[in-house]
Amino acid sequence: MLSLNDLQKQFVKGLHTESDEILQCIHTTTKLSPAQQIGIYQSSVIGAKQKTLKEIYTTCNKLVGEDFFVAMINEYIAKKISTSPDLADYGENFSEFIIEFEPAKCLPYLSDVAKLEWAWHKLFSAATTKGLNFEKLAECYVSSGENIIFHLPPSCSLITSHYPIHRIWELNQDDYVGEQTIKLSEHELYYFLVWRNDLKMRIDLLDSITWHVLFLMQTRKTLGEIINELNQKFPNSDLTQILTTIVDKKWLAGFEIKS
Amino acid sequence: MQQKDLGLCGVGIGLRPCHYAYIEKEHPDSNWFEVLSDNYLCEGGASLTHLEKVRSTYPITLHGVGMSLGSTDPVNMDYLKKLKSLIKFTEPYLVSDHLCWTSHDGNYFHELLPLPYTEEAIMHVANRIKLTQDYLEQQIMIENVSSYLSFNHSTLTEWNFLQTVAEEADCLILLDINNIYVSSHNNEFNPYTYLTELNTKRVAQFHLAGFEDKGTHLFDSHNAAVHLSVWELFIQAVKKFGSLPTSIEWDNQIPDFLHLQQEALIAQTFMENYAVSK
Repeated sequence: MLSLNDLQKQFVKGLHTESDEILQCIHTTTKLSPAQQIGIYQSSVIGAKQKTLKEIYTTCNKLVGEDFFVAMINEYIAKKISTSPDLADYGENFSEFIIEFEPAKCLPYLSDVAKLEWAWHKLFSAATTKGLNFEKLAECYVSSGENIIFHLPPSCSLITSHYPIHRIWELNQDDYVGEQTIKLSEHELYYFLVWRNDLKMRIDLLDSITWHVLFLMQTRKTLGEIINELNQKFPNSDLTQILTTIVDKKWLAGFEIKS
Repeated sequence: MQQKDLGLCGVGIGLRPCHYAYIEKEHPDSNWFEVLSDNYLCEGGASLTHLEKVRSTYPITLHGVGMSLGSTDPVNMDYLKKLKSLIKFTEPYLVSDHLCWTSHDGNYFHELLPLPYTEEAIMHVANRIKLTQDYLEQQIMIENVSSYLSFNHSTLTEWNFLQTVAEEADCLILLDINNIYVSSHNNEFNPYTYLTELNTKRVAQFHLAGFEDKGTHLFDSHNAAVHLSVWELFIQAVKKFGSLPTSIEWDNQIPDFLHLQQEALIAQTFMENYAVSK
């Protein structure tokens, strides 16, 4: 008789069709063989992951069509286990998988669309922050302005792409009405901020300088370091104006003073 | 562990996102809502905002699928930490999960996998339930799952296993009537024997849902109204265990809220007509 641990180990091998040893432990019924019985669980395990990926990557699904998408996620499911009890955590590295998925190589923007959809999915339920304490910021700015490290809210994500993925995404929304064509350019780099404004999700196309300022903040650079880097890379930039925009848009959640 | 005063009665309805707008606008009659805890273990956003609104008007219970109480993996304390925060946030009347395993070797299957009904499994699961209850500072309910197979080396019946685990762990039982029916059909036992031989005062809630007949087996699909045969079994359960809180589960092809209210009304009528005073 198998121990509980060994039984579960063999059951998992049976689910993944790596071994049929578990079949000897299963009672045969009048209607189903042990293999058919474990097949019911196999279908449910795969079905739960398929459903989740379909819900997260709706635009990718529309872009490639149901048959292609199902074939793609089935290969992903076969390769990637779920390591979280929360099914909503499954599918994080789908965009990287798409890059390596041979049949999708003729769709170079697909991976970036998946990256956008994953950001949207995760930020939807990210922590809510209270926003900046301006009074305290004003005090700290006077005493140690250059050592301030700004914090972006957890409900925002910075993305770049060589493709207008925001337009690709927009056109594939059920309620979209408007221009139906998209000009794809492989040479231009698009800068995006995916974020949640209170409960409303947004995808903003940013200019490269604003995106870089936010990126430097995200990598915990001090205000002094940001000023130096901007002066080197974008000497004509107006940081005051950029910071005003960032504050107005509520893209800052807090700050600290570098010790 | 102290059993808390349940303070919950009548039939409740499973809270689903497609009904948020209707519930928040119309405040429909429902004794309480059963909340799928795993959908709210996040840190912010719309789901928690809706939950807060519902909780401000209705009593709730938390029902989860992620404890993996039967797994031989270490208990996932990160999961329990999040659940404990949700319990603090929502102050539910009851907290429940399933008598099954959902993970092995760090691999999560998101499916309620069956246990063998053995002494080893009893002690293993009971110890994990005790640890869970101690950490959550909350008595929990364990639910019987729908199963599509049974193991040759089980030495107990499912109902004996369920009852013994609950007694060993000092926890409560969420008796899913649909699951009894589905499992009895698939594993070829008499569902009424299950109810007759389950002799415990630990049953604290009933579940009702719809199944799908796949020809070779019944599937616990939660995509249909409660079947007549399950209603009949429910009447027997009410006669034996009394008028316990009962919830209607519907997870796929979810109808409008009024339809769920009708299901709840049927359950309420059966409870009022058949329950014996306890």
